[in-house]
Amino acid sequence: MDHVPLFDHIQHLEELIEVYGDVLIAWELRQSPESIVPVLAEAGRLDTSQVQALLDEILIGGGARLFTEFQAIEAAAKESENPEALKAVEKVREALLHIGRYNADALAWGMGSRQKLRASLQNLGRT
Amino acid sequence: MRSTALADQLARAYREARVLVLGDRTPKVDRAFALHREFIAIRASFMEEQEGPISEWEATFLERTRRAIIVALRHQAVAIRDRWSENRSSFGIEPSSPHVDLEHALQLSTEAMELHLNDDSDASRTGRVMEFIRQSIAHEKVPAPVASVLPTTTSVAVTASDHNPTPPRLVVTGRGESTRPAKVANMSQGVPSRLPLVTAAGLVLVIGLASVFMRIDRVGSKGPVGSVVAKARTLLPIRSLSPRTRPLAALRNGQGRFEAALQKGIALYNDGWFGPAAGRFREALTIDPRSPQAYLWLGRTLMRSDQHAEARRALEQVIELTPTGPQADEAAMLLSRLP
Repeated sequence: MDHVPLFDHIQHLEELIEVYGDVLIAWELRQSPESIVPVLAEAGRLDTSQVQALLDEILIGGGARLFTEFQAIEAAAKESENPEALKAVEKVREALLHIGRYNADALAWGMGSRQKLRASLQNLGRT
Repeated sequence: MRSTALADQLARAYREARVLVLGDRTPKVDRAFALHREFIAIRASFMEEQEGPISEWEATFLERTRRAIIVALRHQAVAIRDRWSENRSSFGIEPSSPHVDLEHALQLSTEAMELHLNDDSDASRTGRVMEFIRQSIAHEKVPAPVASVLPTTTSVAVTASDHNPTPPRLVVTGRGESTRPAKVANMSQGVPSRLPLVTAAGLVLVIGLASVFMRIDRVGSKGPVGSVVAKARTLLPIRSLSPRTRPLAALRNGQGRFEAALQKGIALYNDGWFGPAAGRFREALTIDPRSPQAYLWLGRTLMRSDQHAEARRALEQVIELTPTGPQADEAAMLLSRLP
């Protein structure tokens, strides 16, 4: 993280959060996490390989990783005292709050499903 | 910062959009139309100045929701089209049942297209979906084939490709990809089956000319020549030699189709489906282009969907076709309300 420019890291985290939101909706609909890949890619902003890579990160780290990363970014932004960075971090915070507010059921359900996540990852044929 | 209620609405719209895509493939027409209407209302509320400036996160989420809704509308349009195709090939299910109306599919894809911005990379994909549905609608207007070995008197004008009850499934290609192979494959399927029809058409021409020159239409069914002609009339798609009854039958048929299209349009209008309703009224006008009634309904519908220029044209047609009377009065009143 130290070697990645702060704004690149913020953008990456934003994309992870977007993918995570869809993973939670897919879970609620009892769909596989992989089913979101074509759907997110279809909008055209991220391509299939980008969504797949982001999904892999989610499946490995889970939601908790997003919060850990956010804390690190927030600390780095405060340290930089850059108002633009602080503003960008605020936006990410709102995105995370949104996930927590509107996907609370899925988050609770997902907390106990690490096994399922691991199985999903194995099905992808990746390590 | 805006009210939480607005943020809630936006979150629900996003979620609904994803559900419409990630859920099962059953077309959910009402929900898709409702989602579009809701998003338009939410977006308008966000843009209202008195609510204060939009935050970066709100702008991001609004944009994300816009993209999600485009994908959802496009998926639903394709789902309707797929269901229509399945029904058409199953021969037992009414293809024009409410959940498989291709006009709905066209309307949904049109709404998706209207939500696109200039720099959306997937706008061309939506355009291809619209075009494919238009082709399917053109396909739908041709009646399903009758299971008969004998050609009918009208079959000459219908091509082999029109008889195909299951048009090809939609393949939405990515940017730079070509749909040409699918079209070529389609053509290669159509060519051999067209040959018998071409041959039959040639025979019809020969027999028709022969009938003119030899006056065989006056030959009765008795005698060797008569029996040959009678046999030919039975087996070949010869135009009826007693044309007096045809215009009346055609008129009755056209009137029936006109009434059906008009009534369906009115029902859709009353349910609030203005886009599909306009499609039905236009269909009625293709059958009877001089119907002030159909123009009046089209004008009303277009007014309700804020297509003012087209509404004006339709209402002016009413007055042109029937300068006096209640229809003209209503058209004039509606014209005065147009901005």
